Amino acid sequence: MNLSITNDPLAAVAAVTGDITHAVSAEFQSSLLAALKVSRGLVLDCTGIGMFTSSGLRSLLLLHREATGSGKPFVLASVPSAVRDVMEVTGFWDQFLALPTVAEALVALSTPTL
Amino acid sequence: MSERIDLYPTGEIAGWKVRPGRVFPYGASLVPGGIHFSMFSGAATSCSLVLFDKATRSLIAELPLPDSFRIGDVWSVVVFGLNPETFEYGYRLDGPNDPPAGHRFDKTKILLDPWARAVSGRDIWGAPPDWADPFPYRGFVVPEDFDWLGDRSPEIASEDLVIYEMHVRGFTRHSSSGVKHPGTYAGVVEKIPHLLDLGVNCVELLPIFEFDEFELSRQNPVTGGMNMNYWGYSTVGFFAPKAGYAATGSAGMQVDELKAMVRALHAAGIEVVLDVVFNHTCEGDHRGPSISFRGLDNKTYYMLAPDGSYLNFSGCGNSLNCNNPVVRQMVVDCLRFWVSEFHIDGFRFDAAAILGRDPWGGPMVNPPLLESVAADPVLKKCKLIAEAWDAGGLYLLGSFPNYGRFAEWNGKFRDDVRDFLRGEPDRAGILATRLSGSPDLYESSGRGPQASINFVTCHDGFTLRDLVSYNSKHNEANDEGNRDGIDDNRSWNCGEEGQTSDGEISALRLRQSKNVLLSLMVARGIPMILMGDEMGRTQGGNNNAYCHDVEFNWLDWSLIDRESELFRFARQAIAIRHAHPVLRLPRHPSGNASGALGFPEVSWHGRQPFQPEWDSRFVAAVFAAEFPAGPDVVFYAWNSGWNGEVISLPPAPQGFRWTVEANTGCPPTEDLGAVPCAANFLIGPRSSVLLSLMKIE
Repeated sequence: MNLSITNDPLAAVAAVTGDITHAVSAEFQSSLLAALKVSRGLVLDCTGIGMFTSSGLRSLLLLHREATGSGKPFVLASVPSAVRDVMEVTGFWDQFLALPTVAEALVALSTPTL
Repeated sequence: MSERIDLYPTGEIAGWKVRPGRVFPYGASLVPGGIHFSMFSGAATSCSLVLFDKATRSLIAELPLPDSFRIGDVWSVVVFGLNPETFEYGYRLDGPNDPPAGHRFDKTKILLDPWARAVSGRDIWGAPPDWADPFPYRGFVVPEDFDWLGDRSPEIASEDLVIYEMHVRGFTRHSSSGVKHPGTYAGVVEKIPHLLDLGVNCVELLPIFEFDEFELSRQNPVTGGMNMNYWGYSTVGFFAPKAGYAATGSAGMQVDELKAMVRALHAAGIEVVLDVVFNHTCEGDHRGPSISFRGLDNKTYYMLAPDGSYLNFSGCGNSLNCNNPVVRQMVVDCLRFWVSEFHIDGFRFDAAAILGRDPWGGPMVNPPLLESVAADPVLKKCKLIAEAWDAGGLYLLGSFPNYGRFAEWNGKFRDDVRDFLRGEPDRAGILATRLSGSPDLYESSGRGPQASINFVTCHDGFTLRDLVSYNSKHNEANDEGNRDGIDDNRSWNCGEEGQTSDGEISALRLRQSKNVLLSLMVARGIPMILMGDEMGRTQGGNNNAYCHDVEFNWLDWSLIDRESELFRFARQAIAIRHAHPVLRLPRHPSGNASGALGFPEVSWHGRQPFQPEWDSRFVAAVFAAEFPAGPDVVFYAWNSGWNGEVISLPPAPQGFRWTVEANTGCPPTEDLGAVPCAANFLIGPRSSVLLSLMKIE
């Protein structure tokens, strides 16, 4: 897994590539939690996600909970259909705000409702 | 709070850092830094934990557990550094191989952990297995946390349930289902709107514990296809959901998907009851494979004859030794697990009479297992339903050791309604008993009608459409010479065997189907309908379709349009039950107790009011009771004779009139709705009606 994080005035933008599995979930979570902590929100660019396991799902849910708890937006962008499928089948897709691109996510974050 | 102070390795086995485990919980579970394993065997002389790579299924390591890792008869170990997503496991045990003494240890076998929370090997339904794999079923670890989003059981009162018996795969596998993932837990979720539209509030799922659809599979020369274990009444893993029913089974996420299904059903107000098979396992008799229990502790887990052979009360080769204290604990643990971890609302126990047998097969007056289940605090609000008989001839309908908790699939309701339906003479009296909640079976022991699961069809036997279309079973496709399946179908084909182009016969079949559905919804007790009966699903006369994973065994959703009239009626009949609390009272009605508006709780009638004709093909009743919202009084009549009957209705009290809510003898669209009716009322041939007393505005 590779994680690159850039800072936009509206949110930290993290692009992840590779598998989100148990082997990397702790690092994945801690890196994104740290980014969330020092920014106004978090956009996760999911374009490069490969394998997405139970651990990956739990990582996203934990991030979502953390963001909600701290009143910050957490937006998924460009979610691959296989990942979306897992999230739908397990009933968690509707909990997330997911948009087609990072740009659209940032536009959404600039609106006062988010 | 820092983490536990004892989660560090104390040694190394086969290159893996380990420490002795803590016995509980049994099975394999995540602990910080590793995996905890725990397993029981009462007679093994050695135990090794065997680890495999999940991706390649190749051996990673074999860890012989020293005696210091054993407390009593339980081996337990923590293995550090294992990635839970990349390994599978089993056990290799040694011990005596002395079948006459009950022992069948075989150290060449690697055995499945009975407490495994997930089982690999049949991850995708129907995917051709590796027949050469000597250890096809292996346990693996799954995350046990799940965000239930505040899910709670609907906790519907038993008497208010309308149960829908469903095969998870068959429900949406047909291409007409239109769901994204046909034949899966996720598919069920997509079809929740149908269940709500129909009005059922409980699904009873045919077995979803891991089983092998390829067990005893074979080419079928009759069909040219493959006979499979489609129903799944042969458990491989009691704590593991069937992976092949999950769209995510290949990713090992069946636990999450099933939990999501339960959560979605609960959110829709629908309870989930599991059909569970604790009477036997998939290992068969002495000719069967050694998959788990046989090699772990044969003498403990199975009922054995004095010569060590298997006692077979299940008809499947073996009988689980349910009243052995260790096995009893496993069964109770298993039920608790499904309730606490999966939020399951109840269980239907297959061939449950076996659960009341002692280790030598004798029926027990006070079976410890059933007492334990009934009294268990975790299971306290669960629906418990027994199939109160077994293949060994123990028939306990009405006398199943119930401890005030177990309801029963009421086979007499099925038989007596079928007899009345087909026009057997002199059955009005016994039908009245069934409509009253079968007090002949349950009243003397203080049980109410909630003890009676009223059904006419279920997975085992004809579908409703076939019940009115066939005089005899047609199981030729099973390739058993039509010898399998019951012969006592009590069915009537309405004039022609099988499909017909005769409009009159088709109309009669529709009417007869409606008669059954209305009787189910009127009778005291808990009604259960079979998946697809609301839309005329046929199995072509096959009354034992356990082995077919093909279209005729799947629900064809286009039937909703083609059988729209039946579906409309089914929906309305269920709505009538929900609308009339008098039909759902949790007590047997008494003719001596005051009901409402001058009627007793129940009064029986014939063609003339208050003159029942017990030795006839005509039964009529008024059920009446007062409720906080006001009186509820209904009149129900069923004429199973060939001729219409003009009857005199019991006089309506001042200010009220009888109105028709259902009339199976009327043409479609005229058989429902609040239509004022006269004091003399025509009940058509082979027809039934439901009227209610409504206030004159």
